[in-house]
Amino acid sequence: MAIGGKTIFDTDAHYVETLYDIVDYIDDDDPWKQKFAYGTKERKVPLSFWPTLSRPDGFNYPSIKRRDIDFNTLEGVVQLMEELSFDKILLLSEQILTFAMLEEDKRQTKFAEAYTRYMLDKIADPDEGMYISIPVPYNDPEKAAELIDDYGKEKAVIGACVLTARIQPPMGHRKYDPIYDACQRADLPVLFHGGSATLDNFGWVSGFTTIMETHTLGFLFDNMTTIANVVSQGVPEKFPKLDFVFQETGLFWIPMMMYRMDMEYLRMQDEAVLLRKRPSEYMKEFYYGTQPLEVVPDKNYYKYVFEMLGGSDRLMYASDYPHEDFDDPSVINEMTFLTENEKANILGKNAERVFGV
Amino acid sequence: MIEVCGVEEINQGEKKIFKVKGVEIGIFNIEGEFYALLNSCCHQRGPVCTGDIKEKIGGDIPQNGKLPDEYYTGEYVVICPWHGWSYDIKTGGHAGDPDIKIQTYKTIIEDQIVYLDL
Repeated sequence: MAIGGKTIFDTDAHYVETLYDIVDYIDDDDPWKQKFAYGTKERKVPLSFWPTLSRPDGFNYPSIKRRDIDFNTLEGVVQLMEELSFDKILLLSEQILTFAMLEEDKRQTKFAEAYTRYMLDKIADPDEGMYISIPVPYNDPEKAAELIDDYGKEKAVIGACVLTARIQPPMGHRKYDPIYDACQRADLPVLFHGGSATLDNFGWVSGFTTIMETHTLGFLFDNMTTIANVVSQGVPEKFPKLDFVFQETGLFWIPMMMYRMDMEYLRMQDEAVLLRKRPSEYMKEFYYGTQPLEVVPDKNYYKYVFEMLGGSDRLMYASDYPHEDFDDPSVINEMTFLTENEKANILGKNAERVFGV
Repeated sequence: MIEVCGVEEINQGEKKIFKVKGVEIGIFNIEGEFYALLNSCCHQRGPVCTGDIKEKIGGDIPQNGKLPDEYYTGEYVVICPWHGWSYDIKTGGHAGDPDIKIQTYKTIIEDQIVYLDL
């Protein structure tokens, strides 16, 4: 299904599971099963048990329909892969987007395990190029590490996804070390996926009145917070074998963070005692999903940003399907400043190397 | 001139897509006038003409301390179903930046037939 001989690996598509789908994968003797089952019979997310998100679909006139694909079924995943010529796809949970709104620990942990079991049983198929990431229940780092230990070696599991929406403390804190330790044991890259794109319950700041504002800033707040904290606290030094992938934040924020952090580091190095080099040098070793690619007046601006963040070897194409800001593979294929080899790296080879598939 | 369809084939406020000389073109009937737009969004080449037709929403600068008044402008936009980019059907200009334009084509109506002047 490749395009122009290039393998296409979509590294971020949201499988739109409901609680109805996963409830059978909670053990019968677990008292939380009845709570997940409550109200889910018609494939709804029960409002009394699980939060929902206000998103651009409902606010932009509203008229966004994308494609006629039911991304809540295996057939839908197959159809998308055929229509967009994807050879491989990394599926991310949809309900993980609500993790920042879950105040206690149990819903994250119960959901994450049931979702992983459901996806492994019903959807994931490495022989067909369909992979999943484990949604990391970061509220309970010990349980999260157990989950990664239990499922991280499955052939279809190729990442551990942290939804970075307003995590407090941020992901550089030592309390999360068990999560990174488990990922390193399982040789699983850590995916930091932004998610604060909702108008209501935005969380970082109160008072915005349009989704244009929160959708612009939320992903940035999430992943700028994460990268500043993870780098400053020396997580890459503590876990030197780990790969880190930042997703759904676009690309132009990365050089800005590199140079700002270098400026601060060079005058406050005594705070960041674990660092052995400038922050920007760590950031050039991270990987970045390309979506949502910013709209720019001159496509050469992309070229400069790619150079600043470490070159095309750091980038992975991502669609974000079925969300309203998804990117088609053509956004990469039509960048005339890239060589065919560089396009192939971004569209698939970098991800194949990092995820080991 | 290329004959495309009869005027009765497209009801007021609706549109149809036709393949003309190998190119997909949307023909729109807005209050009895016919407009033609290339069915390819300037953003990522989504099938823009298959999207919803909506009356454009505008707003006036309010008095200080007041919310802006929002209202329908009487102009019509077609909204790309892929990402929501919206275009004035009469001019092909993006609703938020008229310098971004979809290709438009001149329509001619003769004897209840819609022609494209290509």
